[in-house]
Amino acid sequence: MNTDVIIVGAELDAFIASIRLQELGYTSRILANGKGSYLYSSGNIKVLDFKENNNSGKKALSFFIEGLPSEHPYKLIGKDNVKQAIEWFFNHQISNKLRYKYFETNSFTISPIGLKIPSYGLYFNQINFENIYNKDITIIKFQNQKDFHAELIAQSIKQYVNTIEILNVVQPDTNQHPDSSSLAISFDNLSSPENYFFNINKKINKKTSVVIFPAVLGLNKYIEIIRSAEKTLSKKCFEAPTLPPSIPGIRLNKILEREVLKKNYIHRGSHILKANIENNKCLSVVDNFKRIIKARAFIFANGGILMGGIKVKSNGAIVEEIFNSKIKNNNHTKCEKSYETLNALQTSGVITDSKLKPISNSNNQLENVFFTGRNLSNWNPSLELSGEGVSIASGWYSANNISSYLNN
Amino acid sequence: MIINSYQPSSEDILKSMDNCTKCGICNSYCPVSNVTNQFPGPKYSGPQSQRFRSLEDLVEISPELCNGCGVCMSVCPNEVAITDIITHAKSNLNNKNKKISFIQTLLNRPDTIGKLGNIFPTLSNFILHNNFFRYLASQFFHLDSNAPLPSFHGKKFKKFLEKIKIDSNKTNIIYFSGCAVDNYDSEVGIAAIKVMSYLGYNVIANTDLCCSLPMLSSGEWDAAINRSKKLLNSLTRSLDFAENIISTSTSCSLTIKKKYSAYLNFTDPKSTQISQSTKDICEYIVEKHRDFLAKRMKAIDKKIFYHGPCQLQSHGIGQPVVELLRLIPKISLSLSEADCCGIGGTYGYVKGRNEISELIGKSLSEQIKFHKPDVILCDSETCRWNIEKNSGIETLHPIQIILESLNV
Amino acid sequence: MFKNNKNMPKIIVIGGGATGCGVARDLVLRGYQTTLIEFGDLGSGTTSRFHGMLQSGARYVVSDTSYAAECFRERESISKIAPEAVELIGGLFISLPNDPEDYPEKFIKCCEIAKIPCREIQIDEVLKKEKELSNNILRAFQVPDAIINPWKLVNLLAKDIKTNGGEVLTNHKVVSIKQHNNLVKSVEVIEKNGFKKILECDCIINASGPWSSKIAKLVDQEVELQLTKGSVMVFSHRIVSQVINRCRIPSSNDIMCPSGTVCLWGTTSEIVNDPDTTEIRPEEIQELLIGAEELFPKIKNYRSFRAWAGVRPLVKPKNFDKNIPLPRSHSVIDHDENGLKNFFTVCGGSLTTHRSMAEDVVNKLGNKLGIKTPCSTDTIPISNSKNTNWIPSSYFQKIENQKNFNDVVCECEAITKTDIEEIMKNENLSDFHDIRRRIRVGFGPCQGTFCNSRLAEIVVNHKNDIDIKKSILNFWSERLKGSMRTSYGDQAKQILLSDYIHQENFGLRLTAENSEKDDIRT
Repeated sequence: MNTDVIIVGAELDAFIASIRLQELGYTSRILANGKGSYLYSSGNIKVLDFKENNNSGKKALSFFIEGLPSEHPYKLIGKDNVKQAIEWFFNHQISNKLRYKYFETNSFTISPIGLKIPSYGLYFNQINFENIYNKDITIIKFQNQKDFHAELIAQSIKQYVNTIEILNVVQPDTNQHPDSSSLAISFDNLSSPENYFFNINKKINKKTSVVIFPAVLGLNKYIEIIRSAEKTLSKKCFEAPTLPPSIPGIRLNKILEREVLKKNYIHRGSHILKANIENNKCLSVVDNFKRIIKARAFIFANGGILMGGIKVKSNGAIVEEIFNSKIKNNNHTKCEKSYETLNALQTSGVITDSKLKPISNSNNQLENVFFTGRNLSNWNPSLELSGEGVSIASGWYSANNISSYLNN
Repeated sequence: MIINSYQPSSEDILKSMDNCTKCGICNSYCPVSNVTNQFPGPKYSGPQSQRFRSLEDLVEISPELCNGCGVCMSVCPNEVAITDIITHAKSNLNNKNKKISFIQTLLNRPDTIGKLGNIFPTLSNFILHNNFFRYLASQFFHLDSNAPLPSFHGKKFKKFLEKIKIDSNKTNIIYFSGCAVDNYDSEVGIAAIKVMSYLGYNVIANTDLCCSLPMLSSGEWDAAINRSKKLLNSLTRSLDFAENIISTSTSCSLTIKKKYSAYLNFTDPKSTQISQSTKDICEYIVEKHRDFLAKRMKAIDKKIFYHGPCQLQSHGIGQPVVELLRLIPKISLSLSEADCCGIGGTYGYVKGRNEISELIGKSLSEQIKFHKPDVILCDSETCRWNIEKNSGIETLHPIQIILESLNV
Repeated sequence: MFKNNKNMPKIIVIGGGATGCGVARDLVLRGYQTTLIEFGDLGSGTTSRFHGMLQSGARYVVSDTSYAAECFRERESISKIAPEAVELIGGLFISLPNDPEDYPEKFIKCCEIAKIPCREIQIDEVLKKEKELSNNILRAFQVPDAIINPWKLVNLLAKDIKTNGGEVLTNHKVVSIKQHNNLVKSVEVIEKNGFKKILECDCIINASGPWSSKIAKLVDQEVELQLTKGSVMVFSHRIVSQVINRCRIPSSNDIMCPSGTVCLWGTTSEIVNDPDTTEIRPEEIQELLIGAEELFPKIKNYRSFRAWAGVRPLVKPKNFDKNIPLPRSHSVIDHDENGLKNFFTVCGGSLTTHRSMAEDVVNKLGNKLGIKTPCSTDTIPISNSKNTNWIPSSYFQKIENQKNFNDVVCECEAITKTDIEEIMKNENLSDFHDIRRRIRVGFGPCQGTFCNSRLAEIVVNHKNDIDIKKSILNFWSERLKGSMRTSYGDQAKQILLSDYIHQENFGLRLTAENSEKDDIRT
């Protein structure tokens, strides 16, 4: 099929790698086993934990990386590469489509239960904690809407704001959809958003200066819609996330797929069952239709244990089944407390060299295979809040490495 | 586990309910639950309900509204065979009380209707497209008056087949024409045969056979068993002469590839051989003849819009049509971002369900209006008829444009 | 029957498991003024950590035939008086090639003696119905095993106790018991909020299961117990349609028991000293899997989403010989033998025999006090239901009938917002675990990944003075505890997803400090 690189998985790293490879002049094919874990992230791009704006904004990421252990993926990739990758992402047109704004350190947004959560960049009108301090807030809840926890959010942010009210409003579609995706589509179908917001305006507390909507204001047209809201209501309008998988993640998914499909291909519902190896080179992979797909290099961006790239057996063994790679197994079965078990599982993963190439259990190293994202070991995305950062950095970096490899 | 099996059996399918982590990604992408509250979504009707179905007989209505598009299965990161689980629940093999409505019984037999209609095609077409008839059919047979009906083409395809000469120097390939080509879309079959002949094949057409997908999708499984056995027997004999079977319908080829084992448990070696020898025509051409064609395609002065049908995603083959079209010099090609056109095979023909189809198809209609193409391409028949009816723009099978570009 | 008769003696029952609730119910029906005291929530001790069976007794029919006969009688009674907690699914006793060959014949004979209906079934018939069983099985015997929902049982009992004038005090810890002149006088209890109370009594029945020794020590009495910990693995759907037992002398890894929408496999068996033991060692899981593999060859590929351990008490007789297994039947100790005139302990037995245990001790109490009222607990139904059995899919069927899919909060168990609000109102509940135990929120394979915050949103709507974030974290941490040991395969994915949701997405933080719980028993 004349593809340069096969990318197995549907994670953010998979798309980043494909897009970067295209920039460098290489074709790729994403063999996606479903959608990626970034859909659970509510549109947040988490890069560097809860670190605030200390040590002068420009150096926050460097400082963070310097403080990490040497086996951490950020360290393997290298501080400069990580910074370059993150900047590349935020300057790329995929970020521009979503109007991600970033400040080279964390911004803080609100989680679905109202807690402060960092994000390295915020998409267009994503609620920023700074927007709510001492303000008069209205949280909009749509009638019949499930999975938007207005009460929990209100209870959490109460202490930071001046006044807060929750307003129940009727949905634009008479069907009164309960779930986020149908709500978002019904907003896209609105022929006149202004009329809809005009009717809401009558009910909002006059004192309110900030209106927080659930993040369902359209899948495709949300920039239009939220602008229309701000114009009609004459107040600042923001989106706060619903329970995942939430719409901001789906918007990002659409943009990523559109970008890849411009020149490359995505095989949806594709599962790789084995690989064909010869002389320390992977020649092809075989999918669940017995199709043999050849390429010159391979990236495995299939999400570690969470998304199926790595499996945990009933006796506690952790395995990577395609290449039988060496695994860092942190013995989660021996842990006493649940938070230890979680950490042990999260930090387990494939052991790679500094180019992100895995080493097999028989100590062979394949020259053209790379692992990225949650497949990697020695990092805990949920404690460090660095999930998307490692995805972007490892995806970008492995694409660069492949480019060097193929050039030789 | 379903993933380890190339031909998962119905037991594998139902057991895959255990893989579900309730992530909800399937619900976010389901075209049906995104437009109507009547359908609770694939997660609910699939793995969730299955846990209760295995306890005792339930009286359910929710599975009926699934349109079988398979999008949920292709976005699921955990290999849950969601669509298949829901379709199992519709089956009349398990539910002795299941009633197949009269209209569904008719729709399940497109080959029979086709044969009858083609005795006097002009008369049949007149009746079929007559407003009064449509009104009567809607009142008494529950055939929705909006349903996109094709035209009978007489025995055009058969007559074309009679004129083909066999060249014993060429490789044989089997073309499973299917009900649509046999009775309504002769041009598609003719184009397919011309292209394959150009590529150096003797095309042996297996006509007058039905893959039984409408029966499988609607739950009329007892009848489906006989019908599919008939097809498999015929194709087994054909495989004595050829290695591969190609089809111009992504729905039919998917059924043969995966659904006989998943629904009817046809996991014997003969059925498996047929399943693994069957390919979609564009899938086949890309795999074997891409480079040959790359030098021979001529420019086409038409704005093209391609909609990959929902079934295509379940094939896991990426976008072979797009790969072929991109070989055409200076091609003006825009891609549909809609997952489903709404018609769902025979789903949208039934009175009461057509409204849902219309709502689903809205996004696609808007995209078409935006791109203003000269011709629309789609590789599944009822989708083509649906799109052409709604857009008023000529809608062809991609192989017809390929033929045009080859100037044969 | 004397109801609310102020002349009747005041009895305090300590322990709110099946036994304690059974005793309290027997007492109120005989007219006693009754107060039931329970440390946590009803059934949160051994009762909820049992194996799921309302057994026919066939398990013990060879090793303890009279106990087996009692079990069968009780199984019949309970299914009549509390049908909505019981599902009559039947059971099979299966012989495998390496089982003692002479056991089946003994089994059949003893079933006859104990009057337990038993008939042999053809192997191919069994394999047709139970497709997961190994093809190697040799013989199979059908017996009338049933399964029971323990929370439903204790809650029905508690409701009946209250309806008949008794008092049920949950979340009350017994601090001390005052005695004078060889008679117990009162019990001092403390509530969760620190509020202390003194309850006067004429008599105490100690039905606190594995904690019986600790309670007895409060009055300087000895109750020597053998505490056996048994671990159970939960498989995420009904692998079999009836209870599957090994046809051999009762030992570990013997039973696969459907329970609601899941299947319970167990148990291991290990002597412990601490009645609060709930930890499961990873070796136990491997032992359980190897044991299950003999009956179910593909078991290691299935999803197990939880494991728990329960401590089963048996009373050690005076001349305890380590080498002879203790009889399974219950013991009633009248502590008058040791100088305390109005203190009884009832212990041992099983959930199946809880009613007859209660009858025994209340009879003995009555004889002592000269109150001749007979027991009526086996004839008067516990609830006024229309005699329909426990239908695990009833919640789901209700949603299908009413088409209110959009109201669903706990997707795994088909629990709606309406169901939760109703339970919260009727019983004035706001603790997530109390709600969970009654209505199964968070019981399913996802172990509260999504329903946790949905439940929180409902609770905070009704009661906005609780630390809701602590509740969310607490609920999640408790659910994790049970999943830890079975975090392989799909369950590993599930707990990482729940970690993503709670820590990576919500911003909560699970630490050593906040994953420690005040009350271990939930």
